Amino acid sequence: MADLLLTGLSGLTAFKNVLTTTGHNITNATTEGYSRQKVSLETQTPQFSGSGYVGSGVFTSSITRQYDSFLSTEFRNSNSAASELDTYYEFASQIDSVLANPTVGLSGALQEFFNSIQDVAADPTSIPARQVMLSEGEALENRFSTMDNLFDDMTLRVNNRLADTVTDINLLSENIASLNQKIVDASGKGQTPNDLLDQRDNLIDQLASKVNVSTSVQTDGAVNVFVGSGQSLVLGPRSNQLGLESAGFDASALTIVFKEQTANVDITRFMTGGEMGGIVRFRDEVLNPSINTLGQIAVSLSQTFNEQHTNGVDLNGDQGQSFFTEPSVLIASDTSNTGSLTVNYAADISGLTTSDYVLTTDGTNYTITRLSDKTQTTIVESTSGTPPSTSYAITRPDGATETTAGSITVDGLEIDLSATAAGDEYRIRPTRDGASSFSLQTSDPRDIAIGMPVISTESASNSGTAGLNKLNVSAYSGAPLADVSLVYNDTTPSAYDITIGGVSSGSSVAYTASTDSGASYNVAVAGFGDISFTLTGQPNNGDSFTLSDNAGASYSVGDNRNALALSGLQTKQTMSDGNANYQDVYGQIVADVGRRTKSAAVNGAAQQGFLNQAIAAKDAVSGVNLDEEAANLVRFQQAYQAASQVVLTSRTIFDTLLGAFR
Amino acid sequence: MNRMSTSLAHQQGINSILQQQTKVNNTQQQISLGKRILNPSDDPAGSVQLLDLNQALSRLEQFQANNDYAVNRLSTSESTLQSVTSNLQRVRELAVQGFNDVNTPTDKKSIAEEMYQRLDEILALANTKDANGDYLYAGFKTQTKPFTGTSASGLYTYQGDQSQRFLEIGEDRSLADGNSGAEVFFNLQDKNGNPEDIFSTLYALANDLSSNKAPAEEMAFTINGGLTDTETLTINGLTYEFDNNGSVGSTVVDGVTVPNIIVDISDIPGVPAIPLTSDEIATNLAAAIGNTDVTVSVTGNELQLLAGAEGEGGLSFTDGTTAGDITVTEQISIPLYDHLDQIDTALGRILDVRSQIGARLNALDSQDETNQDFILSLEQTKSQIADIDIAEAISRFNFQIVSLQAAQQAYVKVQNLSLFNLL
Repeated sequence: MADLLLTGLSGLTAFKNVLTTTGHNITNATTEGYSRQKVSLETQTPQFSGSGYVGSGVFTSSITRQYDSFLSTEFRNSNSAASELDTYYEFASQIDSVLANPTVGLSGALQEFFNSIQDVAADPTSIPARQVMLSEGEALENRFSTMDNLFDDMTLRVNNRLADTVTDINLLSENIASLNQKIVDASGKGQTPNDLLDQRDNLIDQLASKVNVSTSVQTDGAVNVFVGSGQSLVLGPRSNQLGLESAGFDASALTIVFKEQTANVDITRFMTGGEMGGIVRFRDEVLNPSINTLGQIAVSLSQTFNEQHTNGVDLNGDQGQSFFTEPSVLIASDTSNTGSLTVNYAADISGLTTSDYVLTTDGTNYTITRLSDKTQTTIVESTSGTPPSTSYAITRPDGATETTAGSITVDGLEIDLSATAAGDEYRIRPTRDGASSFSLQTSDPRDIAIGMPVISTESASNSGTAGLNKLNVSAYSGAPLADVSLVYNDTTPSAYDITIGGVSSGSSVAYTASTDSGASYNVAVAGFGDISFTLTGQPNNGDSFTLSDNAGASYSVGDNRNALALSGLQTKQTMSDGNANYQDVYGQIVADVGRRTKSAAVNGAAQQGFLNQAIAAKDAVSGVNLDEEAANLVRFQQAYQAASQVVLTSRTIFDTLLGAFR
Repeated sequence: MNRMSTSLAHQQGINSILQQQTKVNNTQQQISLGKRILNPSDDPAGSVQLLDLNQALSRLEQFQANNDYAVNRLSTSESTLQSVTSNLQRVRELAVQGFNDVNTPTDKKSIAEEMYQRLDEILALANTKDANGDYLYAGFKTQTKPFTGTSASGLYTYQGDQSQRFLEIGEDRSLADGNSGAEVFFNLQDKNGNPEDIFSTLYALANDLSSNKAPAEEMAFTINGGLTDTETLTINGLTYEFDNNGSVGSTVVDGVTVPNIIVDISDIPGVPAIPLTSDEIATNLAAAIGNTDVTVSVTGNELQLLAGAEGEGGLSFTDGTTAGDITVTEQISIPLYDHLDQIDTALGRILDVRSQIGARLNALDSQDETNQDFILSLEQTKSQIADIDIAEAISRFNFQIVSLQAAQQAYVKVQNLSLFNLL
């Protein structure tokens, strides 16, 4: 009956394996990435006897992990997407909570600033009121810089996070490669190295939560991992590295590169999924547009406000200077450039966009690409005549063509191409620095220019009902105005004859009360500027008005007309091609960031649901259920005890046999 | 059979507790701040609406501040002009009273003295400053004293300009917060269209009174002859017609047809016979005029006319005869009537300005109401968008707390269920 002993022993060995595996399952119940293992028992080959095949016990054929590669892939994809949305939301919600915050956001400061101008309008000579306006201007500057600092901080954190993620990815790749080696070695022995496989899967899961990867399993058991547009992160036992590089135009703009021996490949735009995808998408969709839009508001505000301010006269009777610092266009030159490019903001900057532009040239052909929508303006330079003069034939993105000799105006920018050289490449960033360089230039409250340089006087002997109203000055040079008199002459066609500085100008403004009352007129005075006004009523022959200088020693300090014009800018549609005011544009970014944050939150919740389902499905196969293991423990303990009884029985039989021969 | 891994069961229990906690926390924040929108992402469209509403509200509040400011300035102006009006009226009374012949030259001097005082007072009123120390009637030159001159020199000048300051009191609505001194006191015109100002007028009046000028207008004219039938002269509204045949025309005065007064130019009245001499015609004319309040005296062919000592009639003379028939030899205007005219013009101007101010104050009042209505309705809209419905939030909060408790209890119960506990 030696068979019985062996059979019993085979049971003991097999059940010990099962119990050990159950113990392994129990102790790894909370180990991340662990797949429940199962022992497969098979009957041993029976022994043939005359009466048939006698069973000879059990043996452990294999220990396998409970694993479904389809469910695993689904989990990995869901995890990658959820991690992308989480990271995106994590960053976006920080900007979201700041934008509409009344103590940090721009909106409140804009309102306070413009209200303070109205207070000055109500009491133009009050130094305290002017001081308040300066303080509010400073507060506005602070808001811009606070928000800009916040965005800078976010840029820094984005970059740090990118660096961390790249390090993680590289580390994970190395580990996966080394596990690949171990698995290939271990698989050679015919059985699967379950725990190594679990570890590797877990590392790939972690990698997928950093960035979207695709995998392919090799016949030797190794897994190749690909990233981006097919770059091989892990190839068998070898791994490659990702890296970060600064973009040439901006040290703080990092690109993600795949390191190769010859040259690094920029794969930033292929970075989807995972933390990396979330960060890159946040940077492209929220952070950079926010920085540029804030810059756009800063540039538009300082340009339009300065323009109006320099058309005014301050409390000392001097021409107004720039109220805010004049913004300048940021241009990044390629290091290989040999020429130079000059770009200024156009007088009418309502066309300014938040996009960056790239200008390339071969010397005669120029291409200006707007990066936001990749539309191109092409320019062909030609030189002709004696002396030679240069002209530019421009083709706009919409197909319209024009020719100009001087600067080229594109989207509120004046681009001077004359000093560029063949092969040059420039990146024009009109709004990037707007918010950070926004600052108050005026420091003396007396320097706020809220008067207008022209004042009108009606002759005391006017006998008609004529009126001259709504005086306005533009393109003010600061030079004194020689008296401009308008004398009505009723000889048909009736008109006001214009005399400038006592000398007849030879020109006149046609005015017929019945048809022209209320119409506005413009008189350009050489060396001074353009004066516009409206004429009303019925004048009698010889009735006159005098437009005289309102600056210098004779300045009328109670004048508030420019203050009204300045405060009017608050609601004037000076942006987005004349369709939006400052607040509107700010509202657009608040709404945009709000919508994107909201959609990240909503999609994130939905994705979390998918992820939970994927986890549940995966765990249904691979997860450890302690009750089940407890039951197994009981069951196989009993089986083990039973097998021991078999051994005992075999001994008893053997003893009985021995006893029979005693 | 569906298996459930123990760690997943555990994790799901924890997850549901965490979820409930987040909800409770969010609702708690909403309740404690009273706000429905904590971040723009809670309601992007609503957040932008809130920004716009806040801007509109902030502008309206500024308009209200401007409105108050304009009301202050205009009210100051109104009460100043009220004082100016009563001063002018007093001067007018003094003028009428002072030129009465019963006054001795000394009396007139002392009445003139009061006029000077009134003039100084009106000058001081014209130089009134508002609460901010700005001159009310200086146009834009608010820091320059607008009217200079004294009753010693009698030379008055305006140092301000003709500008009016406007303030925004509503969207697309601005309104002048005052009137320039030129408009109120200075750029007046006398009946002949010559520039005048209140101060010079009063000064001249007081001077004339003080120097005992006669209050009347006087003139003289000679009749040269050559007068023909139906030619007329109009003196103080009465028409005198030279006549040689007894048939007389008429003149419409104030809508009433009045027959002309006959002055015979032939020796037999009503019959075109021998013409009279110029001296005789002058005598006839003087006789006809003698029935009115115009004093007339005749010397040969010259008539001297003197307007009545009292009343406001003045002396008007219109020559309707052929040129050369009559020559005016002397015309002296002693300007009581002119003065009174000009005081009336000034009073009329100030009344105009005051009614403008009244109209503006009314406009400000109604704009104030409009703005307040707007503010109220904007606040309501804002509240609907931003504020939380407390009743709804509290009940949601309670429900969430109950759910959290349920999740916690369920977790504890489920975690106790382990087969190991029973082994």
